[in-house]
Amino acid sequence: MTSRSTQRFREYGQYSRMAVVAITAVLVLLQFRADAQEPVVDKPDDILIIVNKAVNIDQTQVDELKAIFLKRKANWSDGTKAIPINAPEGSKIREAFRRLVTGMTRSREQSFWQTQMIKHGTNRPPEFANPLKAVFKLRGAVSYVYRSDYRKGVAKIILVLR
Amino acid sequence: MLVKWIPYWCVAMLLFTAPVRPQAAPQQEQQPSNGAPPDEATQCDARIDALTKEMTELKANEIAEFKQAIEALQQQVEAAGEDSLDDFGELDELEMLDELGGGSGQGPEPIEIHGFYDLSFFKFMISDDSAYAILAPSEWSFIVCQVNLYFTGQMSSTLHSLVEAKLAFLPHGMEYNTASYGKIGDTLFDSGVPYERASTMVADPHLTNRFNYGSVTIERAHLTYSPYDWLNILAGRFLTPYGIWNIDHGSPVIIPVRAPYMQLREMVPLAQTGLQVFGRFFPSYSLFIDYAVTVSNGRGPIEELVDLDANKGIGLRLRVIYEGEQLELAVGGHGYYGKYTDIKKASIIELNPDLTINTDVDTPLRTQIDVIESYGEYILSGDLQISLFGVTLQSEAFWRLVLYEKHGLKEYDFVILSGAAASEILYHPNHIAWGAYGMIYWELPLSKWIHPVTITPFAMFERTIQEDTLPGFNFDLIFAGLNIKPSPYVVLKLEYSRGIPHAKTLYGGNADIAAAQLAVSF
Repeated sequence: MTSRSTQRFREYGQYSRMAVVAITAVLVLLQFRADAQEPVVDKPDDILIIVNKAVNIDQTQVDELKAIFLKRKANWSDGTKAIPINAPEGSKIREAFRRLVTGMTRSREQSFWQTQMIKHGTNRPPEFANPLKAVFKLRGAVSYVYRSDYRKGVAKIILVLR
Repeated sequence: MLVKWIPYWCVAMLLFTAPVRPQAAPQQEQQPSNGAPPDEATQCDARIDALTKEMTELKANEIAEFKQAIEALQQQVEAAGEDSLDDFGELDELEMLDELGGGSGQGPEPIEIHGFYDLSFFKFMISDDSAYAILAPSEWSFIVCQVNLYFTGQMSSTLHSLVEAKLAFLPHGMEYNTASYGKIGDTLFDSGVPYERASTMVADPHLTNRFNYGSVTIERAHLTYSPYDWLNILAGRFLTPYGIWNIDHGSPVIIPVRAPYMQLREMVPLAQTGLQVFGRFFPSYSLFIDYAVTVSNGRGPIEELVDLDANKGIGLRLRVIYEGEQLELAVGGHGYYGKYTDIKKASIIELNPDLTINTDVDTPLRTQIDVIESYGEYILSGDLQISLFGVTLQSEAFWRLVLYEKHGLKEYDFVILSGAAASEILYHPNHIAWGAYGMIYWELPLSKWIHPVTITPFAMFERTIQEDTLPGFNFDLIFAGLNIKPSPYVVLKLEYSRGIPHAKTLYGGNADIAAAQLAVSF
């Protein structure tokens, strides 16, 4: 009995080692596959999140953008007042931004701002036909433009949404 | 620029005048190599040429310096990005702010006006002789309760102003008193209190037509200074930052038609006049911690205008909010201590027997202030809101301790409801009030078919112990209904509720209420 048990333990040990090796191999292959993905290429319809150059930040996250555009957060990390500026309602980029950042539909967003007004007297962010101009001019302003509409040096890019 | 050239011109003029002749000699001495006698005019020309050359060199140096400066400036301009903004054209700041509309926070902007109103249609399912008929009409009635207007202004990036004014037909129709009778056997005893109902009817002196005037209530009026997310300072009249309902407070936002009794009976002061410091911390962008500290006149008969005691009402609010992909969770707590004081004033004049002022005393004219009622109140409240896959559970609870310093006199109906004889003189005792409600609502996942219309069924239970010493005022309420939103700006509510008094024998049973409401925001 003792020798049979020992034999079984050895077999289990072999199987365990084989399983570990197999899993490791799969993970390594997956990693290679991930690494082998096509490099990121800039496209004209990339949405650039741009901020006024006076704001002393270099990058942001979608969650922070959401908090700023829903006016849950009012300041940048450097203390500058954050001024979210939307593209005009109905524009393609506004819809894309809403989908990628706030996750709301148009009617849900309207309902959200009606609620905010009744609760806190908070107005929705202003809209501007040329967000690039607004971001260039307004200290603390943040908005979004397609890469094809962006001009170097006008504002600071802090995030790219693809 | 010209000033810089003055020394050179002076030197040039000096060279043109006095030194011309003496300096011509050496030039003449150099000329013999040509073998021709030097002409005086030629010498002058040569000298002028030399000086002009010298000045040209000096100019060239200056120009080089200017060029360097211009290049440096151009580099700065390029760095600022202005070189690529030519087609933005001339941009006037105010013009741009006009285009931006409100909320840019960059300067004075036009006041924005928003608001909401509602039309309700309801009926108490009671007989005309029911005790509940004293509270509400027993016939189907339309009622426009309120029109709330919001005036907001962003004076600068850190200064924001809000005024919320409520327009109502009140006090028109308010019943100050209902006549009351005691009945012993077949004999009615009149309490002597007449039935009184307010009427605000007036007649236009010119056209002679009659109309009922209404009233304006200032719900909120405050200025907020917001330098940081974690620090905002608000001064004015504000909604007490407790719970969920009191902040939501507008009919287009709250789910049922009727507010819970803890709101209607103001178990926590709904609004206060004073200061509030509040803010938000971000442990992460999906987790917020909100706080608020309030200092105000506290509760009082005229607290909007005057604090009738030296104590200020103090409040502390804490709330933690998590917003995930599918789960939203908010847990809050609020504590409040304040003192209620009511007074009456009397003028006292020291008189002589002939009713003239007695000037022999130090202050013949004085004011006497008597406290007629005073109590301290300690209030704790908590709130919870969980949303998961469109289903939201919302709950609030409060506990209130009232400790009298000067007990107020009980009205005779309170005396009778306390179980005492109507002839007895009783005072309001120290008491505890508490209550809670729980509401569940579910926005049906029908957006695929009926977008943007939303349909939200809801159910709610509430228990309110208004005074633990007065069981006749304690109720349970059950609500159920439907909330239909055809657009983000319009809500139609249908609701059926049942009031269950704890002293059922006193009221003769439950009271059912059917209600509908159309709430509109703009």
